[in-house]
Amino acid sequence: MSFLTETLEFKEFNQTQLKEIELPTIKEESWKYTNLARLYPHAFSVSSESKSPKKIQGDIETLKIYGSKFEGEFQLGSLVLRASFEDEISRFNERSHYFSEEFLSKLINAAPTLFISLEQTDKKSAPALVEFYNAKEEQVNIVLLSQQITDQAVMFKFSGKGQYHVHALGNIEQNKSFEHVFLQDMDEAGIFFLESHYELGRDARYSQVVVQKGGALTRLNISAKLNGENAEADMHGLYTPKGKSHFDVSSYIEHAAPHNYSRQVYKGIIDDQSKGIFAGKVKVNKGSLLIAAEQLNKNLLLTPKAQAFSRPQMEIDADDVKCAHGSTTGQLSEKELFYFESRGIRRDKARAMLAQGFAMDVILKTKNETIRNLLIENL
Amino acid sequence: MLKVSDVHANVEDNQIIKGINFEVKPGEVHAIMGPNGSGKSTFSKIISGHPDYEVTQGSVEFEINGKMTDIAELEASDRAREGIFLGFQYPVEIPGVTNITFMHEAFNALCEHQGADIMNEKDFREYVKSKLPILEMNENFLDRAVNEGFSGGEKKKNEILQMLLLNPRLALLDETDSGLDIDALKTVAKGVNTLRSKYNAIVLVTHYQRLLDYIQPDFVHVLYKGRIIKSGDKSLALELEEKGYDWLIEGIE
Repeated sequence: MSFLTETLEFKEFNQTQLKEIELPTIKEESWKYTNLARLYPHAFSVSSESKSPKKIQGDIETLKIYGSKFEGEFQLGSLVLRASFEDEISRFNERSHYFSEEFLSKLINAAPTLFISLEQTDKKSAPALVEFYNAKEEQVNIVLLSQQITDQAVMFKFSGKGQYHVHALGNIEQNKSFEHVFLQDMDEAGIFFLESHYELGRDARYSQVVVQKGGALTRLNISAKLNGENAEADMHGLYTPKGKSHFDVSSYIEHAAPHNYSRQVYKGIIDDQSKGIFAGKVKVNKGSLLIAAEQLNKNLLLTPKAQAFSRPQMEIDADDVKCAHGSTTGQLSEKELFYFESRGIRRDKARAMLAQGFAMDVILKTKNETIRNLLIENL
Repeated sequence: MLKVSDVHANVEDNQIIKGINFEVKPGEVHAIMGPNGSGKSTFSKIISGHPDYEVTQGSVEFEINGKMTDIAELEASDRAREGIFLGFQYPVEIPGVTNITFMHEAFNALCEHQGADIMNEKDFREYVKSKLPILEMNENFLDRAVNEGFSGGEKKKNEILQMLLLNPRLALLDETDSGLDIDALKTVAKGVNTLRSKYNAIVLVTHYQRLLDYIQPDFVHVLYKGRIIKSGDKSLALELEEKGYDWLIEGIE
């Protein structure tokens, strides 16, 4: 059963339903390091925003969406965002094999949800920025469904307060290409859940870079399923928790056809007393011959109280595959710091440059140059 | 400009330097030679202010604003800003930071300290490009991560390039010749000779004499077990080349 079938009816905010939701506990393997009961407040209120979305002209076409207020249709370059109807979601859902956390499904079910369909009108591709801004301590639920996309790069930025529950879904059909950058830049009490699932057909390409910059709690459940030959999935991420904030990603990449490729680099720069958790599984199904999969998690601990937990995992049921995975966790190297200092660069500046350098190879995974520059500006 | 008086120094409680006296004046080139483990590299790190090396006795003075000043309390970055440059034996790879960014940051740090205007990115690139032919380096080295994937020779050339950009008053070059083939050695030597002037001083730390065929030193010192056991002019280097270190060592033990 999928969350989408449960969410077909728009519902008024239901406090009783919310209170009945059982949060996963740390006894569950995938929530081992994230104690929601401690981190997650139980009082929710639904977005009361009345301000309509606003288009902003700039180097990149931008739409700013306030709270969950969105109606009608907006065109951004080659991209069209349309308030979506339930039956579209349901049709998509019948074809996909999407798994969602039960409590998140129920959360979405208990409150109004914004459904946005992303479509590409023009053959010629122009990148777009969709910025969500939440001014109040409220809950914003969003479902982003990508369809009829040929070749489109989009950056989604989430800023402001409260909580976001984002579900990003799509099928990437033969020879099509999507690039998605998700930037979480909330205030220090912000809570952010992202569940994303994409399925790739033959010769399809999906490139995802998730960047966590702010917030108190971030949980990502991301997955990709490669159904066609010669499909390529890039699923990268950068997390920079500070203070006492908490970042946790659970990733699942499934190779369900021969001759396809997945690459994943997740990097964490963990400061103060914060935590970064990476659990990633790459599954190679029986018969998925000659696939190549790489998975790497690297953590940089900036203080003695910063913590990283890393669990890269591969489950391979096919022969003749090229798979590599690894994980490293360490501190800034004194050797590197001294090299900077010997050139007149102060230690603080050296640390900042080294941390930025550490992050840079994730940033450089973004393929669209406009979006890459925008992301660098935002960091 | 540099005066080292009776310096003793420890690394993790092991005494490596056991009383060195050493003086450098502007315009001079000194070579410090010695067998492996004699304390040569340690000596250059002490002067550049490496935090792992603790001076337990004696003093290191450097000329700052015309006055000889004890630099014991100055951190490595302060010493660099005052014009001391260390060329590394093993230049460090810095993934994710481009060479040009690194050099630009260092250059502007020095400008700022010396009260000069900082240089913008475009002008700095032009300035760096003007130095590349001396070291027979290609412009694409500027946009690669610092030393990452560089060959041994390329790393050493990159050190000398940085030296030329920062134009230090005192350049300490630690085993700059190690691991170089003859062509790279000549190029690196040409770069070092470009710095030579009556205002700058160079201290070459080296195991072998061959670098000194291309960079003529004014003085040669032999370091052994943490002490300078002999000083002389460049003929001392030739003598060492011919006879090795044993005859000197036997003399003192």
